[in-house]
Parts: sequence; structure tokens; C-alpha cells
Amino acid sequence: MAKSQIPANDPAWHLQTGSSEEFNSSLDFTNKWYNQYPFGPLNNGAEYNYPANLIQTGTTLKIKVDTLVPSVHHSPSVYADPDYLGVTYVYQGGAIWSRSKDYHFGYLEISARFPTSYYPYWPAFWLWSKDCSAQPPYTDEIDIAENGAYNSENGYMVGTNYHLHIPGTDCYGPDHSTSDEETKDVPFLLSSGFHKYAIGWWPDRLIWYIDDSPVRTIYDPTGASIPQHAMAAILNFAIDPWYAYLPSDWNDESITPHGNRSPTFFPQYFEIDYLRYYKLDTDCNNDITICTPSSDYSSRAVERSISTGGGCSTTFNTSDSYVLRATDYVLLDVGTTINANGSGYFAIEVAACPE
Amino acid sequence: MITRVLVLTVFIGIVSCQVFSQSSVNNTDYRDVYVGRYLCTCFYQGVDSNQNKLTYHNDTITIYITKDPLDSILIIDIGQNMYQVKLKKEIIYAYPSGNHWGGRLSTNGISFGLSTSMTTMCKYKGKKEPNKKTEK
Repeated sequence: MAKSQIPANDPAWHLQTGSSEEFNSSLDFTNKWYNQYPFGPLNNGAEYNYPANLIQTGTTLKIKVDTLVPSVHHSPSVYADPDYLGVTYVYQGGAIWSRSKDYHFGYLEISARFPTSYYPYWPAFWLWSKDCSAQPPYTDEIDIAENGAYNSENGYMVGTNYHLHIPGTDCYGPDHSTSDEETKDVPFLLSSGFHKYAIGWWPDRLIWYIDDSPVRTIYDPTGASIPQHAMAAILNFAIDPWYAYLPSDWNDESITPHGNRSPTFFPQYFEIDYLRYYKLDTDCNNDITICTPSSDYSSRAVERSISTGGGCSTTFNTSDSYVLRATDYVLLDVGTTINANGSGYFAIEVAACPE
Repeated sequence: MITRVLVLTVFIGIVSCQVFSQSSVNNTDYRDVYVGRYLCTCFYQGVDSNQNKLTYHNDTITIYITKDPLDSILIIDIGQNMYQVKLKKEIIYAYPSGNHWGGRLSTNGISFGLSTSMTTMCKYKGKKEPNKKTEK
């Protein structure tokens, strides 16, 4: 049976408790999380966001969307369109956003139940960072599980995406960012229960996982097409503005109607059981030789190179789960034995240093 | 004799019309009238670097509409990002599926909304440019 080299199968990953959240106790909105977008109640959805829509059950976080009565008129225009005098918000949603950009390579996972059966639901788990004054400027985003419109209505699809700044473009311009969305089919209805959605992020690759199985990989040995900067983590539930029924002041020829979908699908919830962030120890400037493999997981790190055998007799037993990780190479020399004598596994992973 | 000539003439006329009609149908592609270059204003909204406010401004950008090799599918080409769409009554539908964008396309203009990422969006509005080559 194949196993991914992820935290569920490999204790060499270390849970970063300060950057993780089990949602078993009250969220720390003073030091750890914003209880809405740090830039206010609006983002690019058709909903007005309120902290009251973050419902802590004691074991999970439920982010609610609902209709908004009375509605809220926002002016001046959210679109900088001189023809508009503002728009009226008739939906409400919620978001949490990490105060620190703690997430920089590693493995990030949620267990969550996504809402389905309605086009405008737009729940998402994503990472984001931007600095237009940096040289070069950057806009990094990884959408680990982002379900809008078609995905939400279908219920058996998960959206994955990532964005990067396009060199030479205006950091705030309309075409400054790449987009590479891929939708992945899943064999279960997203709203039927909790499932795991995760990203493995290295300087040279991104691997999306659903329920511990890889579903998408982006690999670039140069790292140029991989986000490289530390990011904030966000969980939110929005209303997709391009598919929702909206008041007439949205005026909107830019919206694609999808049948007679009256707002009878509210309230609805995006429910998260946990958010866990794992990292590997790194020792990327060292070359090591393994003669006797240790069962001490805490001693395992990403090395520059790893050699086995040679002057030693090195035996790996699959009663253990052993991953040899190096940035440059792994050499299994004469004298190396791999015993398939257990339910664990042996793997080699050569990747850029995740530090 | 005159009657026979008239009948023959009418018959030939009908055949000719049918041939011409079939030829016209075969050469018509509904997409042709939409293909071209559209000079648009983008009404942009995004989050600033310090993530503490939304910023708004206008930009001018060219959108290209081209035909996809797939029958009846159009491509909306904005910068480095392209979107496959199908038109129904001038409403833009993602093909085969898509998220976070929509709009309308008529013979003289486009209105296209797009969430370019989780923190940015743009509403493109513009007219088709006449007498321009469609190639980029």
C-alpha cells in the first residue's frame, strides 16, 4: 500500500502548536487571529463580514453566511466606478485571518465540512502575503481548498489554485497576478462530513492533498513559479459576487445569472474541526552517513546529502516508517538492506531545503 | 412551352436558393461577430501591502476575444490569463466550468467581472474596436 510522506504517516513532521488551532477553546482574537479581514468587513465577495458569524462550538469553528436584514449600503463605490454611488449588501459572512505570517513552507492541513448545493457559496482555506515595496514586489497566494460557484453547487469538486506576481507589472494593476486554478473531483459529497484538505509546500514544489492522498503537484526546480514568502492563513466563507442575486444598485451586467435561485439557502456553514501546521527539522548544510538507522524521529532532519552502506552494513526495516530527506542527493551504497518486514515504509525524498 | 420554361426557371431558382442557403449556414460561426479587440476600463479593488485597507483605482486594459479550437467556445484573453467561455443570449458562461467570474458579451461591448485572486477583483467594461486586426 502506497503512503504519502505526510504527517499522518511520518512522525518526523513536527506540529507547530503556536500556529495551529484545534478550535477546542476560545480563539485568541487579541494575539493570534483577526476576527474579520484586517482591512475591514469587505473583501471581494458580495457579503458584509461580521465577527458574530464566527461560531465556536467548543469542538469546531463554524463560519456562517446568511442574508443580511437590514441590508448595509456601502459608499463610495467598491469598484471605483464613477457611475456607481455604492452598493447594497444583502448577505453576511465571516473570516479569521492569522495576525502573524507564520506559515512558510511545511505542511498545512484542515479537517472541514464544506457547504454545497448552491452556486454563490464561496468558502475557502488559503494563504496570502503581499509586499509591493519589496524588490521585486510580490503577491503570493496558495488556495488550498477554495470552493466557489460551480464547485459548491456540484458538491463533489474542490478548487485548488495559486497566484504569483507577474514581473514587471503594476503591483496593484488588474493583470499583476497569475492564476492557475484546477478543480479536483472527490468521491464524497463535501457537505456529508469532515475531510482533510492540505498543502505540502517546499521551495520547489506544491502538493495538494485530500484525505492524505496527493491530488495535484506543481514542481519547479528554480522555484520561480512557487510562492517563496511567509504568509498568513485565512479561513472564510463568502458569497461569490459573479453568481449571486444582488440588489439593482450592483447594476450588474458583470454577473452571470444561474436560474431562479432565490436566497432560500441560508443560513449555511463552513465548519472546521482543526487547522494544523507541521514543519520538518532542517540541517541542510550537512552531509551525513547513516550506519545504524535510529528509531528516534526527533533526530531526523532534511540534510544536504545522506549516504548509507559503504563501509557500514545499514539495514532499514519497514517496521519503522523511514524517509531519507536531502536537498542534493541520497546514496544507497553497497551494504544497504531494506527489509520489508512491517507495515511502515521506506522512502527517499530529494527536495529544496524548506527553511 | 412558355409554361415549361417558367416551371424550369422556378425549379432552378429553388435549387439555387437551397444550395446558397446551405453554403451560408455552413460558413456561419456565431463567434465571428465577437472576435476582436476590446479596449476596456478595469475598475479594480485590491488589498494594500500592509493588509489594512482596500485600494481602488481604474486602469485601461485590452481584452482579446478569440475562437477556441473547440466548437462554439470563445476565449477571453486578459493579460496572461485566459478563460474559456460559451455564450447564451449574450451571457458569459464558463466552459466547461469555472468560478469567480462572469458577465456579458454583445456585438459591441463586454462587461466582465473577475475575482483575480482572493483579495483582488476587477470589473472590465469596454467596447469592441472596429477595423482592427484580431491578432495580438
